Amino acid sequence: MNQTSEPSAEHIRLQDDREGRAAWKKWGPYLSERQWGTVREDYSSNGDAWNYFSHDNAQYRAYRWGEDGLAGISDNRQLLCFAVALWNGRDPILKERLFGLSNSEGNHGEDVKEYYFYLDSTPTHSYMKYLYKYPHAEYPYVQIIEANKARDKHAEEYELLDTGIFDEDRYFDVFVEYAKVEPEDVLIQITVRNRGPEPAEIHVLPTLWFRNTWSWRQKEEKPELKVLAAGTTCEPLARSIVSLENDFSTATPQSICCSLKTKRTLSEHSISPTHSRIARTASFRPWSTETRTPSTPNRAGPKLPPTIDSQCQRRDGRWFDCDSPTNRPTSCGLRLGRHSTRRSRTACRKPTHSMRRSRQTR
Amino acid sequence: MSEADAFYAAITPDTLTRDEANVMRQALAGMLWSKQYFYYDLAEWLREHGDKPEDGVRANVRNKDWFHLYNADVISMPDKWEYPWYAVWDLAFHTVPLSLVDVDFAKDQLQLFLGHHYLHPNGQMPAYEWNFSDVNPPVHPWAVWTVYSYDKQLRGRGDLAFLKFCFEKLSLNFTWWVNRKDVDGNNVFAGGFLGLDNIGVFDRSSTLPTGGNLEQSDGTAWMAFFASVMLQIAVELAMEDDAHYEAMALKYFEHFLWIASAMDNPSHTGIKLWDHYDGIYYDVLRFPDGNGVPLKVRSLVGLLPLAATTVLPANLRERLPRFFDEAQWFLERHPHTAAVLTVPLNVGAGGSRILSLVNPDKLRRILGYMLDETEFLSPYGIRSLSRYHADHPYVFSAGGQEYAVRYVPGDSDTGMFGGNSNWRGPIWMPMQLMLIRALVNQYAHLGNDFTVERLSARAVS
Repeated sequence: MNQTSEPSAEHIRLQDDREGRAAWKKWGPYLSERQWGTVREDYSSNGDAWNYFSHDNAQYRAYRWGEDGLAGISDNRQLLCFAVALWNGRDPILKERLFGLSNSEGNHGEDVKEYYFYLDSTPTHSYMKYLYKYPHAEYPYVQIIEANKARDKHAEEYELLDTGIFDEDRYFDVFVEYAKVEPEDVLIQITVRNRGPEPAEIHVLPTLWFRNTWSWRQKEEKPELKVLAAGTTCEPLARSIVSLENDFSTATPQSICCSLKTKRTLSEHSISPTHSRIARTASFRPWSTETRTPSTPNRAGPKLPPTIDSQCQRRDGRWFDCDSPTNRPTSCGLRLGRHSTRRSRTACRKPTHSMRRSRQTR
Repeated sequence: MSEADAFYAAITPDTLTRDEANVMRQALAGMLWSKQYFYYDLAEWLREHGDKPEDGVRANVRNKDWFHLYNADVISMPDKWEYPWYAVWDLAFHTVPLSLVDVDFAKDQLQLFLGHHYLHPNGQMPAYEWNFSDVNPPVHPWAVWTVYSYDKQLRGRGDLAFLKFCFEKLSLNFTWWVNRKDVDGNNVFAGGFLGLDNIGVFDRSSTLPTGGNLEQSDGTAWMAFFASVMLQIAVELAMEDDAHYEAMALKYFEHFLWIASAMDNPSHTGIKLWDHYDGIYYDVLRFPDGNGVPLKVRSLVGLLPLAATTVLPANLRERLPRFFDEAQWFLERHPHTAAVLTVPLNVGAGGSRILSLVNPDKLRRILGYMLDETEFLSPYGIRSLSRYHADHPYVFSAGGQEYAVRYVPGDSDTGMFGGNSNWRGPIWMPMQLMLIRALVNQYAHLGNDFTVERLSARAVS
């Protein structure tokens, strides 16, 4: 090993974290990639966790015990989450989370049907890099489900590559990088590179949201997200302010905030919850134009009307919209952190709810 | 980026090529990206499912015996899509590579699962959310010892507080195993699927179609392994911390010997787990009438006893004379126990003392299968099931139905345990680690004089 006399900067961060001088591990890739279909979310009467909460459901139902997303991060109590959503202008739904088959859908059980790569990470997550490969064409959700259904246990699995959707490299490489300036000051860079032979449309939606901690018990305080006018400085409100701001980018973003649906809306749309839950709506999605209204893909499901309430929001999305030229990277940069004095567009107040503090085991 | 480069440059061995160094870095990136916040408050979850123990109402719902469990922590996941919940033995394996980059995180994870929000009041470790009461192989003590040893090497001084905490909690877990999984009190263990999903003829976690129960070679070997690592930890604590751990060392030494000799004794069925004729271990199916039959499937189940091989310090006699004398006395009183294994009373030609379930004769016979390319040895590692079963499937008839185990190197062709993983051929990486460790430990004792012939597929055909 190249043991030098000077410890590396990352070794110093590890030591500072161990000795309690700086909480370098407070933020990390702690967001799951699949919360649906888990035992925790299963409130069915027959214990069928996979079918009680499907990938399809995940668009409009709130999770009880955790969150998921693409290339996401959260704090170590998962109060605040950040992930990237994508849209190629063709899919019926946003690409907010990895798609895959449930245990009964796959001919060899559950299987994720996406291509994504963990390229780099330091142990304190002071630097991380992730790659997601997003096809230009409409994502073949139904084709994958149907083709696997037709195969038995002795056949191979039908994979995303088998659909031909990546032919001629008609896809985007979406790189997501995180770098910490300080334990609670995170720079985020999203770089999109079109690998195909022609320009293609892509929408990038970096999204900040709260795990729902307030719907399950009475008197839980709701957190708040606010869009502050451009150019204003975000005053730190005691220790409870966190901001997401635009750092740099080659495209101009539009900020979209949204609220969440109540369980009443949910029952109106005839999903039968055995437990009070909240549906997450499509309202933050950037499809205001009628020609592009996405609907639930080929399956029975509700299409919830968007409601935008600019006063008190739970979710903030930036909408970067561009035509990506061939092989020239397009980047956008954001900064997520406390104590910011820079130009800020969104601030959120963290709840002082009664969730127990993260525990040390020793 | 440059700081990340500097970090990885400092921990990457110089012997690696650029490509290999990149593989190592991205493999570790995969481990680090697989951390996940895992929140599961069982008391609240059960209440939401209609469970009201205070009113005498128990819901018929999954995990209802785990009411004490409160998980709200960042945990290393097997896979954040396919397996976004912890599995306790996977986690133990994760901590070993993670210790290369963040030994504190590795130690925290190991302690977390022994803490009162995880470990059941009865001493059982939670397996995974589908059924916390399922039983995973007890690899936690091995991970504790491995991470402790690495930390000691790294910092020049062992974290005894960590080791003591884990040792005490693991003693509760050991006792849980002894009281729950040794059906007849004869030191032969069951345990069900033990993480090896479809390796057996039957679903090992369900009621057997024949009735009766299974005497499991792997369950028993894992318990011997557990005892041997606890002995190793107790010896370390007795030497480095407090001589009263000598008594615990003796406890685990004796327990190891009881288990080891049970593998070689005819049990109530008159059949041994060690099949002297074939020279490998099998599970024994015990019928309700007390008769039994060995299930002659050549699988990892039969190789696992190799894993229970532990190196003890060469200066054991000088440092812990009381332990040494008591151990010697025990072996004199129970000579049959010492006859079938390797005991640490002697330093071998390799210069080390070891405690091993197998003596050199058994080792040679088991390696005969393990290093035969027509059986277990593939170009990429040791198979989970012998290739012999490609042409010779093992078939067992019961109740007019045939149960077969066939060599299936790819995806699973059964629906057992979700049909998503397959132990009837594929090479399982952590098992390679267990087997390599066993061979290294044997070598430390036996030295260069012990050699075995390796059979190649070509030579056989």
